[in-house]
Amino acid sequence: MVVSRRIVLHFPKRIVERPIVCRLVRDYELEFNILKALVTPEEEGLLVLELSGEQEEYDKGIRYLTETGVRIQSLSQNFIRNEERCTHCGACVTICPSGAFELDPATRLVDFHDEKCVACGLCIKACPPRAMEVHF
Amino acid sequence: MLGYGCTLTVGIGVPIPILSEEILSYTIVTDAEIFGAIVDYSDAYPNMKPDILGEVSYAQLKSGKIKLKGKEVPTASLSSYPRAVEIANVLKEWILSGRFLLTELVAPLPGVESGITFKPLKERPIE
Repeated sequence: MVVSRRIVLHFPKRIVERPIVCRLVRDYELEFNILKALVTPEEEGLLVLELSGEQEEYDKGIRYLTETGVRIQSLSQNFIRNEERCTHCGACVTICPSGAFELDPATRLVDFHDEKCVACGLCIKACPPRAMEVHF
Repeated sequence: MLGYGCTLTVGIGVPIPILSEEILSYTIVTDAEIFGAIVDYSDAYPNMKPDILGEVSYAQLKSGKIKLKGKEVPTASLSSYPRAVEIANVLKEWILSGRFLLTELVAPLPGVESGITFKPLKERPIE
């Protein structure tokens, strides 16, 4: 069964110079789509990927990453909505390029579907009460 | 939003006493009969040009998309309808429980006949 997950990878300084992601393709036949990349030599590297492949190979690939020293987080843990601050004003709805915000036509409440989030960050600045938070 | 200074989000609950058929007829206006102008914020608005790109009804805006110059444009609100409903319900509860009563008017709100006009804001650099 093919699985697809959006994950955030943190590469510690000591392994930032090594080719790691290409092994996911070569050894585990996984496909990746880069959503965000922050790579500076001599610093921790950040990669936000949409990684997909057969469930078994995907799990093996994740294990390889972890064993190599890469810290992995699910993207949905990084972009969160502070429910206490959100006033359901709707300013985020049309800003989001991946349609992660859905406006209920009856109640006019805004739903945040974090599985659609591509970590672009546009909603962070657009939100008037600053309810959208990014924690990398 | 950036560049606008501080933002104050205010919701006001306004009770409308239905004292006549005329007042009633104004309150039963539907979303499809309320119109707003489509304003260009890139050039016309900052340069105080009065041109508009068209008019749309609130029903069209609430549908989630409108057609502008042959293109489909997504629409959403900028103020919170659910919070407005909350405020309306608080006011309703006050009225139903007798804590908010209809009184004689204190002073009428000025209309067109008052001669009061709005002055546009002319932005000047800080010297």
